[in-house]
Amino acid sequence: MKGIAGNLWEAYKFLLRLYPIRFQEDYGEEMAAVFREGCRDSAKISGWSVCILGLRELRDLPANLIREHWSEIWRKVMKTHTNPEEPLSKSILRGIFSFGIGFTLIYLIYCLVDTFLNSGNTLWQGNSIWNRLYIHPTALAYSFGAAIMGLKYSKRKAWLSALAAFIAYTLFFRIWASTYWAHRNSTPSNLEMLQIPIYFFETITGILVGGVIGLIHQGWKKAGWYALAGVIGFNLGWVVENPISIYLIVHSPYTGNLDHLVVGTTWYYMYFLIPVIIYGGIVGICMGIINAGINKRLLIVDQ
Amino acid sequence: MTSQTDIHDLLPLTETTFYLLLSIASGPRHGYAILKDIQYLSSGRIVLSTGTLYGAIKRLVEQGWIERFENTEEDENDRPRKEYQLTNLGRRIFNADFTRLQSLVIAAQRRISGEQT
Repeated sequence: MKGIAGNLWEAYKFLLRLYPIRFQEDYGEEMAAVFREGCRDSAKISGWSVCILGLRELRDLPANLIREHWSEIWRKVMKTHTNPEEPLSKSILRGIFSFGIGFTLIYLIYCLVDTFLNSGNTLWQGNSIWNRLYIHPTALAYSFGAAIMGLKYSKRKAWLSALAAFIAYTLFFRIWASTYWAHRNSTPSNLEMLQIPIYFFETITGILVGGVIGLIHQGWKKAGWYALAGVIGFNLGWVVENPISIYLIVHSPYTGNLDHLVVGTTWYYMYFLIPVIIYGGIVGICMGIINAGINKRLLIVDQ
Repeated sequence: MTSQTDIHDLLPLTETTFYLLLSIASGPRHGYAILKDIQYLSSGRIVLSTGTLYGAIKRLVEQGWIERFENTEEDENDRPRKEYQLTNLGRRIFNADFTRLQSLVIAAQRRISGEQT
């Protein structure tokens, strides 16, 4: 092939190198062959047709490149999310990745924003964002976890479950905050471990959040299992993380009083991040176990 | 196995996806034939670039709606030509969207003819 068409084809082969390697390996050769056929057919009509062919390719190139690179990044990140026959260990890792990373990221963002706005102020008496939780970070963390887990099924299920988890948690938290949380003692003690209302809160949010995630990901027949995972995970998470947060604040220079915790300090970050990372990890483990169990059941039914 | 309810969750298909599945519904085709066929089926309204076509093909292959195989017939470079065909899942999804579109047209026809008479 010579002339404009030949040059255009050479240029196209060069541009194909901009696609992700895996995409090039799978489809690069075919795309070059198809484009070559297009150039040849267009050249039979006119030079202008060849130009239009090239311009069309150029017009779509940026969007195509972004889409393919984005898809490749997601493929790598979600490598463990695609195999329904994955072993229990991988399913647990996926759960930890979804909820553990979710809690870590969201709470870290809240801490950083609070540090930016209120660095140096005390926690509960200042304008700390923890006193004005219009959008609760835990609701966002559950949404993040639900979305990442949901990507295994479809993007639609991912977004829907994220929204549902957010609404379920936020609605119940609002009711809860207006009753118990508003009267919570800001000086925690080991006695707080025994407070029944917290277990009630974790149980109800476990049923609601776990249930809606299961409902959207795998249908109403499997929702109950996810609700069970929520109840176990949320309560277990609380049992493990609460002594740690109490230990941290009691052994901090603030003598066990959250009122004196200063925004932006190392203790501040330790108090807010370490317990929620553990909490998110435990929730993720429970979700991963239930997910693996359900997949195994589904495979047996399919066979 | 994807149930009928799950298939309806995947609908409606985008116009490009519908035309792509339609193009190979009657038999396997190679990339360039699909490209030209989509242009023909849409009366010249949809002219895909090669990059857009293969982006769509890649996603459909990954989702298991279509599959690629090597035709024994060789291309001009003496290499086996790669062709695409619908999988069972792809055919079920295509049929479901086709039925959906048909019911839309029937409903519209009924209403229009009812209003005229």
